[in-house]
Amino acid sequence: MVAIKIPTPLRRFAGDNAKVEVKADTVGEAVRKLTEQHEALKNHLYDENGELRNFVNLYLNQKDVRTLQKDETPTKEGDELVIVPSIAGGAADGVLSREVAEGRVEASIAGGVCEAEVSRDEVAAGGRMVEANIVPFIAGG
Amino acid sequence: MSLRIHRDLIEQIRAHGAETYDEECCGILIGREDHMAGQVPDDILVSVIEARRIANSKEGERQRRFIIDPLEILAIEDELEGSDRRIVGYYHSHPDHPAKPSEFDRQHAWPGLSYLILAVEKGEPKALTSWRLSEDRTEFRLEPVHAMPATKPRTADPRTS
Repeated sequence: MVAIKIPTPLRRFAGDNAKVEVKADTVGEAVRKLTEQHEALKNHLYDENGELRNFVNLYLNQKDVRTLQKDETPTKEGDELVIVPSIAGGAADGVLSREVAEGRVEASIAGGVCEAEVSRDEVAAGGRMVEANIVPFIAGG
Repeated sequence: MSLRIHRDLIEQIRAHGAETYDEECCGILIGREDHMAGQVPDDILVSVIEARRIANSKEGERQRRFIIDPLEILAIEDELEGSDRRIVGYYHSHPDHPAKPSEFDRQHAWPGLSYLILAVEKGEPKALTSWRLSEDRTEFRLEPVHAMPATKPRTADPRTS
């Protein structure tokens, strides 16, 4: 059996399991069997074309499978396969907003910490500050 | 779901964003979920108890992109194993861009985590917002942030910058 370690954010899509054991001869087969057992994981591991998302990393016994034989990497009894997310992101593509570049605060970032339920229009208008027993955080303060 | 974070940690994140300007900073939010008796799951409060600085490992384009090395995440997951703490989210800055997630942010996000985004304008930290990816991955939603008075939060790991 191959033990597949599930990262915390995905555990609830895997029956709250931190580890799932499957019988598989390759890494690809192990992941496929995992998603067969826990279908809800599929959308988070594979893209619309059925390819493993490029920010999903698989480590077999601490080695990145991209440096081995990828999906075809053979597995054996007692192996540990770990799913690790690459956390990536960044500002929007394109040129900088002229308002920001010139120091005029864009409406959408004028609000500081905003409440979740506000619509995007409200955010654009500055957002609503969190109140009650919460200490509001004022942007730029 | 909402996020509770001490003001000291907010200030650490703001300082990090200012230090790395005009490049993006990034870090890992470590905390715990507070399950209040009688509360429905939607009312779970996530408390951040540490904002750990992580080096932006993106090669090039660090003015508008960041990557956290998966091995760093793996090491922290191992470190937290067996404790009541876990990775509850990530933060990064948007130099000269609004504190709103980009399409790139959405495509690379995971559900069940908080994504704090700090706008930094001309080197000065501005708005800080928090977002969560919807379960179907289609959109980011703003989440409430409770900025708590500073007590004695753990400081950022000085080994990384």
